[in-house]
Amino acid sequence: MKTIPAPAAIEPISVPSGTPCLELRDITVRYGRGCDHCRSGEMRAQRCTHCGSVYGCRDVSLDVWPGEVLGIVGESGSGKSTVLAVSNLDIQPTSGSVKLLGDDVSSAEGKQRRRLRALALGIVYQSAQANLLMDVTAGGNVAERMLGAGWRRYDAVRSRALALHTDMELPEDRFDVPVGMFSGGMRQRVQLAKALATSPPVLLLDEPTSGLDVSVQARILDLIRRIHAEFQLAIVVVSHDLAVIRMLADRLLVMRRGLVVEHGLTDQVLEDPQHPYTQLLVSAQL
Amino acid sequence: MSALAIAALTKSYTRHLLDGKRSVVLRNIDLALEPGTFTVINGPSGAGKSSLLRCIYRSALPDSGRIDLRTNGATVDIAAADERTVLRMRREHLAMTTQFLSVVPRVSALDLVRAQGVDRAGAVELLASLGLPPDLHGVPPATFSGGQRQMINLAIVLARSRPLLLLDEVTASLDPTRRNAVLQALLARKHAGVTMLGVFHDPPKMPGLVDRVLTLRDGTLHAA
Repeated sequence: MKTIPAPAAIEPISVPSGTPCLELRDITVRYGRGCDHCRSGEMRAQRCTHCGSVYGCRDVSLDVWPGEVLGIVGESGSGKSTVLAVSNLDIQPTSGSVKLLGDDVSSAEGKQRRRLRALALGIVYQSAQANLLMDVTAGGNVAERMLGAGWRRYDAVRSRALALHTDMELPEDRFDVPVGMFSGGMRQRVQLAKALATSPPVLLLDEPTSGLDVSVQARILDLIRRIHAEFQLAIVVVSHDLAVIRMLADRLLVMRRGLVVEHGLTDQVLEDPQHPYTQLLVSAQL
Repeated sequence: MSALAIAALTKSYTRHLLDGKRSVVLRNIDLALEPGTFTVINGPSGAGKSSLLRCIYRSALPDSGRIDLRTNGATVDIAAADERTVLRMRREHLAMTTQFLSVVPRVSALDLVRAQGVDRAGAVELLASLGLPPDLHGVPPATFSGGQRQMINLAIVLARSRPLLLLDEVTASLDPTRRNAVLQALLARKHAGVTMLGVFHDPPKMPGLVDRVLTLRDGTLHAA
């Protein structure tokens, strides 16, 4: 395996030992002002019948350690992506705390938030359009993240972007091609290269293989498994596909209507599900 | 000191899709495994034999009771341990075969075994010792027969070299020659000090392998 030049131009973020890379405690995301009725905690519906406030998620806690993969499953609208967006510091929770590498970053804003996003977190979305500029080249998309993190030397940026590009098993002659001309599977590889560009300790995956055909999906999963083993990342993967979760995750959260209804070891949750909803979910799998 | 000591283990399944119907499969099970011994569990289909193994591996969640796993100097109650501790126990002390092979697709048999931490020569030797033809070593098991899949399943578990092995019907779909090869491999592990608990429909007749046979019936263990 060839070595990828380390991001020497910037100080890589240090991962403290004895603490999770990412830790959410009692995270609630509410859209709307809320009222006594829904804040009391007795109301568990996603939308308050009194004030109309909507809960993206309620009282969600999770932790992920280096080298560990945490899966989140649940149907559409269950709050999976909300939890991921909180983890990526895209939304500030209404209540609860977010710790990244041991530091409380629940109210991180501005420069601190940009720095954490650049150095501590990498993310891959189901839709590449959410993450990549379609009329910019593969190399340009990856380089942009490095420039945002403070890299300045053109040749260093380019050589690392190219090394990541080929490490993600993308053909070298597509490095200077706009990603708008890439297939779905290749776009996911560019997203992975971009996410890993600054060697972040935490990787967030939001439905990384949904919408790809099965053979491409299998290859992307292989790649994610390899990345995970090689870099000992803490990974959170959100998917509605239980096969993807089984292949990747050590531990699992099951979400429904904004709440975590069950959590446990992946094989235990899938083979001996306790909650009625999880039993329904597992029995619905083909 | 037992390698594993189970006390008052109870396990039930509640099927919420069937109006919450609850079936108790294990009732107050006590079982101690001495280091380096081979214990066989048999009993009728559906008696809960696999559930017992899965509770020990914690791929099933016990209702109550203790499952004390003796590790280097310390004891861990698998029934109550947190998720991360269970994962660590699986990495260091505990391995289980399942009746159904579930592996990473498109990875060859040889690479699946090598991924468990043995070198190429060791993986080849292990697969050959279980009787998998050499021309299949480089093939992903997706197209394998039931018996061949079982061999891969066992090879993966044996390659992990854990001190406690949980074996679920590892010889069920094998011909007599291959069954013999598998039992020989298990005997070698026993001589190396590995503790084994195996579910077998018919207890293996290999001399020197089985130390005791217990029958699981109506949720309780009986001396056979």
